[in-house]
Amino acid sequence: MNCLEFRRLCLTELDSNEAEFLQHTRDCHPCAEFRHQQKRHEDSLRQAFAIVPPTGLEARILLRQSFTRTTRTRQAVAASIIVVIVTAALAWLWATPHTLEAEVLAHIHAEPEHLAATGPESPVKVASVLHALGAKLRGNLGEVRHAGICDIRRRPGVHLVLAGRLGPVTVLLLPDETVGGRAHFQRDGFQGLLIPVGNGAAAIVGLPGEPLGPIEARLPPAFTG
Amino acid sequence: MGNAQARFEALVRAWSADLYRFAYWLCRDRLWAEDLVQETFLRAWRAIGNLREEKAAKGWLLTILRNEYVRSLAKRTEVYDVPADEPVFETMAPEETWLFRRELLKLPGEYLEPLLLQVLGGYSCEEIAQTLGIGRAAVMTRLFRARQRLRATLEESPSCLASRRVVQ
Repeated sequence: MNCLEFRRLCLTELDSNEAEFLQHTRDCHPCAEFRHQQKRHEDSLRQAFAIVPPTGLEARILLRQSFTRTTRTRQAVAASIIVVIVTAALAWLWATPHTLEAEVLAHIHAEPEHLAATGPESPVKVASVLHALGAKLRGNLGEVRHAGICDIRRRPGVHLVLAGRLGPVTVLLLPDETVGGRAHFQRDGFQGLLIPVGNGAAAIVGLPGEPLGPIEARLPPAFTG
Repeated sequence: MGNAQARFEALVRAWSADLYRFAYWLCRDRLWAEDLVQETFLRAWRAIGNLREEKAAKGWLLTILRNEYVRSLAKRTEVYDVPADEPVFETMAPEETWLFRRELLKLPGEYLEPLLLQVLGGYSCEEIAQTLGIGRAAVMTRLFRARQRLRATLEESPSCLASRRVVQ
């Protein structure tokens, strides 16, 4: 290694362990001095680079990171809440009975004002409501205290409340529902009948002991669509 | 989370000053340098699970910072050939240090960055070559030219005439 190569290495890798480099240091006094001087320059260079960071830099970094952390935590909490709500809703939907009789009773419970209606509704209104859904009675239903069109399972149906012997009797005419056959049920303090009406269905619900047969006999045989 | 937080805080304590210095000499602007350091640590926090060994932390952080610098360069329209801001220099630095700083502020980025990686980062020439995506010979040339300029600055200084006589 000549002096030029040695000095070049001094300016690129001062701490080189190359044997030739170390040998040249021992053999050439001016180059050894050059290396020594360069070492001093390196200390100055290190010092030149070592500027003073602004006061509070660490604190500001940690503060900003804490905001990120908080945001992430909030996002995680929000996501957890959504998951819980969705899970609970799905569980509720899954656990809730969706039989027609359950829906009928739920609908009656949801509109208690109709059970309390005193009526009577005019025959014209009753006929008009029935006509809207393509239904025509076979006989006189007696006193009708409420007649209206409701959504039951997101389908329109006729909601009638009649005066029974023991109390109000609810009749739901459901053109878009089907039942396999005539079915009697008793639950939630009511007794009821589900019956096929043409391609649709009807539900008659009254208090326990209420004779529902006579009402059944006067319901329309079918919906005309 | 607790462990990650503790690791992160240790990283900030250990390396924020060095990263700031590195950032400052890269961009030569005080506020920009702090932005770079902040962004670097935010990215480090998000990816702290990727840091397997603490001894690799400095290299890992420097890599993030360099990437962040390149990203921020693309966003900036100003060209920082001339230093936009003075760093916070200690007032008691020796004359040689002041002369070096003045020259470092003027040194082209292609010469300064290998020098930074070697002096502040402790990188070998091979590591610098790998980091910058250039050959080892190019790294050595850049380091040589950078130091040559710094020496020339000193040699032009009257107070260094004595050392010039000794060496030449």
